[in-house]
Amino acid sequence: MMQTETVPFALSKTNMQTGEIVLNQVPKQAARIDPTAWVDDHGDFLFRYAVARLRDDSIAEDVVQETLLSAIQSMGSYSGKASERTWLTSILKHKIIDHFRRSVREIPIDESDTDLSGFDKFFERDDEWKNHWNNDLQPYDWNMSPEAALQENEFFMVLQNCMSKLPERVAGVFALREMDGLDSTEICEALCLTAANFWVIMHRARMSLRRCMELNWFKKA
Amino acid sequence: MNIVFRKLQRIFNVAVWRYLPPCKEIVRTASDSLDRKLSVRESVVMRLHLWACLPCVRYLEQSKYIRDALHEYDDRRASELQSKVLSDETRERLKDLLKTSAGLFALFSVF
Repeated sequence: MMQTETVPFALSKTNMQTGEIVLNQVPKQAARIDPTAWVDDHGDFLFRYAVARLRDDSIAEDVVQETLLSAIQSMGSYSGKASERTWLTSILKHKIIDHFRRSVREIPIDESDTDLSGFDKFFERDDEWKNHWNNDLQPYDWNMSPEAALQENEFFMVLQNCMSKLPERVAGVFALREMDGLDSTEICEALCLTAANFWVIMHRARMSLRRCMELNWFKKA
Repeated sequence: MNIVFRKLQRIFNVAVWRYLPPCKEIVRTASDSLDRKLSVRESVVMRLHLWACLPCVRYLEQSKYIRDALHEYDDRRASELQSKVLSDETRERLKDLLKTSAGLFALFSVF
């Protein structure tokens, strides 16, 4: 066996045929874990999860590989309480953030990303109510049952279109929060954002998306 | 009775618009409320304002709606990927890699 040749001394701890590891210090229920079985049991699941977020097969494969390797290293801390899949998925999530961090850091934060002055016109009024909604630009009733809209494919095309109009970094941050459901603090740490900047970016994305959907989808209704 | 109620509502609205922060600030608080826990003060101010201001209520509701829609969109995309699987080649490569690393890791944990 090739593996036996690579690691000839580990026999007391590892069954080299199956790759099964018997660890001394860990609780009983976690004592026997078979890493190679992860590939068949959870590989496809993890791969799909990664592809959905990274949108690239080969990057997704790399991230799954990183995940499994890092799982081996942290096997000792796996309590066996969560299901194996949940545990692996949580590691995968962090690997995806790492990847995102590496790629997003390359897009420097632009001052325009946190600039809200583009929305000033929404709050311009001639009367005494300064900084309240402008009568023509205020949100109006979307006049459509929310469930009905979600049935239609065209709705999602418009939504995607509106997302793509956002500046790249704004859209990236917004998607991490609203689609991947990451915690605000996780995102700020990963992307080296201040909390204040993060909130401005989120507000900015919401203002733009809301307006864009209003003009391009709900106005027709 | 109805007229009295409307009068009171009108007085309340004018007071809110005059003495509390304007919509421009409230929409930011409303957006923040979707990402963090508001302070008691912020939360009370926002609620009072929302009582008096329909457009701001819509802003908050529509923002939540967009959030739900994006979740739905994400789910759909995920289900479109159901057919995706790791190639046999990758599968074998990963298994080999795991066997080797598991062995190495066990080796290191001995020392």
